[in-house]
Parts: sequence; structure tokens; C-alpha cells
Amino acid sequence: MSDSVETLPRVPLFSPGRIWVLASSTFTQLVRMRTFYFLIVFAILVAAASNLDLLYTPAQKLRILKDASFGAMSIFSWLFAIAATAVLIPRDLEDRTLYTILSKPVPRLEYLLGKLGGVMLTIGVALVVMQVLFTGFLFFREVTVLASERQYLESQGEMSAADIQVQLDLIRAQGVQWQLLYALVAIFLKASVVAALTMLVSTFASSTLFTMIVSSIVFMVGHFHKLAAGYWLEEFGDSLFTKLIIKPIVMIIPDFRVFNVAENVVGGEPVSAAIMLSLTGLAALYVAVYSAVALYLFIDKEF
Amino acid sequence: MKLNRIVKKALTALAILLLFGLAKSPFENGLSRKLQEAKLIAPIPAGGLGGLIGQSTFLAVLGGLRPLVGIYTTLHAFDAWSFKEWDTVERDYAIITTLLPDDIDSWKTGAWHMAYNAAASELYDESVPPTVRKRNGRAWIIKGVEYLKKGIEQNPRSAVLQHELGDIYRQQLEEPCLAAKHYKLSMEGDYPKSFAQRFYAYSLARCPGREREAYDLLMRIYHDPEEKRTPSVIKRILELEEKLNIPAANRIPDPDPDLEILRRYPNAKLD
Repeated sequence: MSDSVETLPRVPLFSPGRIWVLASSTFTQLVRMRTFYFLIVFAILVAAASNLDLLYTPAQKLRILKDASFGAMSIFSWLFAIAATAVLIPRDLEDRTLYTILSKPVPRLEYLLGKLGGVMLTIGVALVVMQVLFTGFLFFREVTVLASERQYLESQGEMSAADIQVQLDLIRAQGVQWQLLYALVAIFLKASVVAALTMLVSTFASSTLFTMIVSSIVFMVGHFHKLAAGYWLEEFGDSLFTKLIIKPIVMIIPDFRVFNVAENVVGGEPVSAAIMLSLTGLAALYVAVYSAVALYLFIDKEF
Repeated sequence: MKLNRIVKKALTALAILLLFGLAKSPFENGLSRKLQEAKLIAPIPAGGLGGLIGQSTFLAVLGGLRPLVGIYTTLHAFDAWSFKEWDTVERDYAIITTLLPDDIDSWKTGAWHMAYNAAASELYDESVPPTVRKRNGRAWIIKGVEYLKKGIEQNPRSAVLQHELGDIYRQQLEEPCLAAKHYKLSMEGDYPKSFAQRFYAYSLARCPGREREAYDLLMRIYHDPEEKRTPSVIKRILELEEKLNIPAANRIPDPDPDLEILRRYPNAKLD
């Protein structure tokens, strides 16, 4: 008896390999749900925005293309993070895949991290594809806008070559820039926090709909609760209501506005690597704590 | 028993989240402050958009969709412009520039709609008496001026906005002294137009009491090989030579450009 126990292979307590297998299968599962069809809509939107030829200045034409594209990326990422994460555990239950996985030596932590990793991988891949598509359109638009603007300014004969160059540089500042990748990272970080939050909700939720509604509400409230709290603190001071309701809400709900840097980075504001590092650290902290709490609620959950 | 366990777990989870919230708050608040200082997230004052947009739009603005709301409002303003709904255009541009206060082009376009398009529309509105038309037109020009001044407050280094304000004072309000002041400020801002100095000089030439200063500047421009010796430069110098009684020996030899224009286009109207 003891001999047969000794011959069993030892299973590591924590295995990144197993998490990767779960994450990649989740990715495949999500791809099979035709998630990437959204890219067709995105391509149409970017093409439409790049051909929007109202009475805009050349720089405005590029800015509108960037705003529309990053707006679409942002909506896709948080909407997908909520919807995809909310359906994953219930679907595994429905397909009985969950029983197969958990009956094997797979710790529940790895299961949760694998699922979350799969959602983040899907969002990451989708964002990269969208960024490539968008950069192509923006580059093409920048080249055509610069050429026509140069031709126009030269034909007017009023500006010196140096002055024309300044005008063209101002337009170029709204074109393809490395800084735009920071905006992409910020969108991804925000989506990751939303996904981790949704996973936490789904570990105690009674239905997919409940998970989606609660996560969406927390996501929305997370954008203005600090603003509202400021008003309430002014109105109610240090009352019992403030202490028991307002302050805990402000503490528990994440401040999603800090991840909105993409808006202004797209507008041309410079962002330092230190700030991006701080944002990444904050997002990682949220994901880690939400995953830990999710595990605490999920670890002895009976199915 | 099971219910007790669930409640206990839920309370523990809440306590963990609360402790985490307490621990991360100073870092998160500090980061938020840093981002606002670096102009990476916009502080939106609760009353800043009050009355201008609905609640759902306000939520969208806070939810990271500020540029999308900006685009939608720009398209809405364009639509309103085509139907000459000037109040809507004014309100839309107030929203756009509240959402995107650093967007110089939006400040410029909004002011252009008010000070030129809306003003012209009122001035040529034959359904009202000429006196009323004139007053209404001027009211829109003043709105354009006030709007640009707000834009300059937000973007004090913008040469473009100062130049636009100078243009409105020169072309629409015929206030050469104020026009000169803003052209001068545009020369000191970021990315000034190369012709800003000439425009400053033209306005200065029409500003009572500053003719000598204008003459000296125009002569510098006239002799500067880097500057264009435009017909307007010559015309203003000729005018100032008369006004300042410049001795014949010091006068420029160029003929009056207006005579040349009239020779080519006999029906041309000259100012």
C-alpha cells in the first residue's frame, strides 16, 4: 500500500503551467463565442471616423479618428470584461466542465486565475489587433492630411517654409505616436481590474445576470463616487451616516477614474513611465486582492 | 448553520476589502492628484456641466467616454450650424470645451461660429429691422470674444487663440488698438504665426497715438529680408509717411499698391 503511494507522481501545489492551460482553453472558449466579430464593427467605425470630412482642421481630423477608435476600444474592453467573466463560471457549471477540472488535482486558485487570465488574454489580443488596425488607418490619414495641408499652405504663398513646418509639426503631434501605446495599456489595466472585480462577484452571485448588474453598477459608481463623496462630506460632515455608509463605500469601490488617462494621452498629453508604472502597480494590487477574496469565497463553495 | 457560515464569510470578505481600501487609499489619492497635475485626468467640477448635459451623458463623461461625448457634440453642433440654430451651436461648444479644455481647435471653431457665422446670419436677417440686426450681430461677435477669452484663460500660451481674438477685434469690431494688443500677445505665445508681426503692425498703424511705433516697426519689416514686403506693408507705410510728415528723402520709393490694383481691376473696392 505504502509502495503504491510512493510511486504516485508529486503534484506541485502551484503550477503556472496549469494556469496557462486553463487560460488558453478559456481564450479558445471565448474565441468560439465569436468575440472577435466585434473587430469587424471596429474596422467599420474606424473607417467611418477616418472619412469624416466635416469642417475640421487637419489636426482635428486626426484627433477625431483617435478619439473614436480609443473610445470604441475602451467600451469594448470593459463591456467584454464584465460580460465574459460573468458567464465563465456558470457556463463551466452548465457544461459540467467545472466538475471535471476540480476533480483533478487543480487547486481552485489556479482555476480562478486561469479563467481570469483567459479573459485578460482575450482582451489583450483584441486590443492589440484593434491598435494595429487603428494605427494603419491613422498613418494613412496622417500622410494624406499632411500632403494636402502642405500643398494648401504652399499654394497660399503667405507663410515661410519654417512656418509651414511648424504647422505640419502641430498636425504630426496628433498622428501616430509611441505615446498612444500607453493609452492602450491604460485601457487594458482598467479592463483587468473590471474583470477581477466581476470574477469576485461571480463567486458569490446566484446568477449571471446578477453578476453583470452588480459589476456594472460598481463600475459606474467607481467613476464618480469620490465626486459624490466630496458633496456628501460637505453636506453631512462627520456624521454617523458618513462614517457608516459613505466612507466604507469610498474605501471599497475602486476609483476607476485614475485609469482614464487614455483620454488625455490620446489628446497629446505626455505621460511618464513612472506614472504608467504606478498605474500598473495599482491595477496589479486590485487584481491580486480581488482574486484572493474571490478564492476565499470560492474555496469551499459546494456545487 | 449554513446561513451563519455564509454571513460570516461575507462579512470577512467585506472586512478584507475594507482593510485593502484603507491601505490603498493614500496611494490611490496621491496618484489621482499626480494625474490631475500632469493633466492626464480632467478634474470635472460637479457644477461645471450643470444644465448643459443630461445625467446619462454626465455618467458617460465620468466613465471615460469624454472624447466620444466630445465627438458626438461636435457632430451635433455641425448639424445645428447647418440649420442656423446658433443657440444650440453656442451650447454645444460650451460642452465641447468644458470636456476638452485643451483642444485649441474647438475653442477656435466655436468662436468662429459665434463671431462670424452667427453674427453674419443676424446681420443679413431681413426679417428684422436694420437697427435690431446690427445689435444682434454685434451681440454674437461679443459672445465670440468672451468665448475666446475663456479659451485663453485655459490655454494662456496659445498663440492661435490670441491671433484669433486679434482677428475678431480687427475684422469684426474694428478695434485696432485691442487687435494690436492680441497680435502682440500671439507673437509671445507658443507656435506664433510668422505673419503675426505684420498683422500687429497693421493694427498698430490704425491705433490712435501709436503711429510712430507702427511706422518704425513697419520700416523694420520693410527692410527685413526675412519678411515679406506685402502690398499692405507698403500701403500702411505710405499712409503713415503722410500722417507723420516724414521728409521726402526718407520716404520709400514704392508706388501706392491700390493704384496698381485699380489699374488691374477698375471696379475693385479698396478699404
